[in-house]
Amino acid sequence: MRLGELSLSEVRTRLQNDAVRLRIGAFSISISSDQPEFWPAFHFLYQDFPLLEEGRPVEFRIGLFYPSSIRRWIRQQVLFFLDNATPFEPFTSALAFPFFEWGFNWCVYEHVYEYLVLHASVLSRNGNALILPGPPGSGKSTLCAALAHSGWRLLSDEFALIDVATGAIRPLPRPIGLKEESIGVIRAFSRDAEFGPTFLDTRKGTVAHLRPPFEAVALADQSAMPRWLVFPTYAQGGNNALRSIDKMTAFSRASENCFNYRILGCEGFTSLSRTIDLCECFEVEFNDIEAVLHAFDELARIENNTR
Amino acid sequence: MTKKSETWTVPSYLRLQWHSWGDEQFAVFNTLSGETHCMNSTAALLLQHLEERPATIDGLVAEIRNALPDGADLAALDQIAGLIEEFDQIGLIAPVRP
Repeated sequence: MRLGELSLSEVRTRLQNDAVRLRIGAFSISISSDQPEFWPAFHFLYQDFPLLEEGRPVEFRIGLFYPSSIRRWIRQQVLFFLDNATPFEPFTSALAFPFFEWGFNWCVYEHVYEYLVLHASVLSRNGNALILPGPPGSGKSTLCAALAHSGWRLLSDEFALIDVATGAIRPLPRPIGLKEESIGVIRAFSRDAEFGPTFLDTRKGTVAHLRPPFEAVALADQSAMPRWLVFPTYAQGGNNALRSIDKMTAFSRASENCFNYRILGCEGFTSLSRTIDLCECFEVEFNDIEAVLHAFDELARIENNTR
Repeated sequence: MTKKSETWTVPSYLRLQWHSWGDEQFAVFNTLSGETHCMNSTAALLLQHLEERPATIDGLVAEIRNALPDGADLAALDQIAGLIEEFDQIGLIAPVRP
């Protein structure tokens, strides 16, 4: 059963009184919340995700609740709980949904060790993964959103979860968080793009979340093998052409974008080396989404023709 | 004793894990410190030599000259003292003490 098969009222009741348990790609989570601002955004943006059967274990037990202070009533705030811990300062209640997304990200990059966790968007074609590492502001989420609506399967906007045992990338398809001008760019790019509420005045400016395509969620148990590693940078003067980079440079740059490379030690080194072995490596400075998408499609076409 | 006359080695307590891309690009992982170092073939050859057995800088110059193919750029040999200095600073090698 999918979350969207429950009414908003049913989801609200579960979130308030117990928890909603979801399978989200590589992870299972439990989420509880007494935040009215959170319920409809969660219900809409996670509607395609499967509910977990009763009694199944979860990796992360997340809560979003009012504090027990006066901020429960006046200028309301929300606290993020992981189990019984509150790792962050409270946010204003109006930002409960983005707070959940950022907190979930934190859960992954602080607590996951069975995967090498690379800060990257990941998409796939025919089982071949395109990895787009990059810090905030590089344009990777904008590219990711455009690719996810152009025939590429979304694995994750935020993390490449590289299985240290097999080298495969496990999907974690979630809403794609877009900021400022990127929201309008993607609205104009695809008529199929469905957004949740727009949040003004967050620490990252205006933020809105793009609902992950149904297919990406439906195929969230299907891994993909690394095939292309591309470092994107949004640049006014970019020429949108993929420039090949050597593997040692790619390794070095990718390691800087890993959250747990050093923690994993030898496994991290082996895992990242193998990923680089499997990939053609590029960088691209872009200012035209259509042009750079064409370049990615060309990579996939060549790969398909050489099979 | 000057660095030039020291005998250098990769200490026995260090375990290095290697990966290469072709003949020119190498990465080595220091399992003790958790640091990764990327290097070219001259540096990798030098460090791998010191993993196998201790050597002085002069000894390394002679051995690496012999190991390089005919016609190779011998200018790389001038880098050896600098590489030894660098490897020493990042803890990949240490002088052999009697």
